[in-house]
Amino acid sequence: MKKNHSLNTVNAENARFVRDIIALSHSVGSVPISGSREEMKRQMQRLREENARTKKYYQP
Amino acid sequence: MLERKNITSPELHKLFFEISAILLEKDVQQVVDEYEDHLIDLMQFWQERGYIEIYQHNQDRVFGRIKPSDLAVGSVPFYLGLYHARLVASQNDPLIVITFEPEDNQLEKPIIRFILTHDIMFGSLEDKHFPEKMRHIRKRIDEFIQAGNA
Repeated sequence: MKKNHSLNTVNAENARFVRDIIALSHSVGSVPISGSREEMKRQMQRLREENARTKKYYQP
Repeated sequence: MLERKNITSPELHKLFFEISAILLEKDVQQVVDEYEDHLIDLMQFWQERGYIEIYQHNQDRVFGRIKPSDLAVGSVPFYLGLYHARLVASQNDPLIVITFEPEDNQLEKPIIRFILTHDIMFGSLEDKHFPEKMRHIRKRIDEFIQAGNA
């Protein structure tokens, strides 16, 4: 079925959902990613590995 | 009219890939394979410029500019302080969600939170199962974070 939505209106349930995800994950924090493209890829790879190793986050 | 935020280096939410994978119903490696290069393009673009431009009208939409998510009817208070942008220049979907944190010297730190679609962010009027699906996703992400905190 073709989905239909208008960007002039937000479904309140969707907005509440997205805000909840922001709130739920707020305490987890963020990390700087910078440098060359390869350095950035390495930093992001390390982040995923760290999540997998220490926090059981990784779900293949 | 464009607004400009002067920024520090962009940061990535620690669960960016994991939450995006759940929202997009893909596995983490698929998200990496499909979107990592586009994400780096955006982050490098912002980092080199030192600012991010914010637009309100679609005619001003250009790759690298972001849009306040609280412009649409029904978006307040939920989307106050949230911004979104196309991740791939040539595609309407997916979007990335961005928040800002104040830093010293009137700079703001952009934090890229996750990837999602227009349907998730703004609502899909014809998908009657969507509320149920959202509850399931929210529960999964909550369990995910609880597992990480354990």
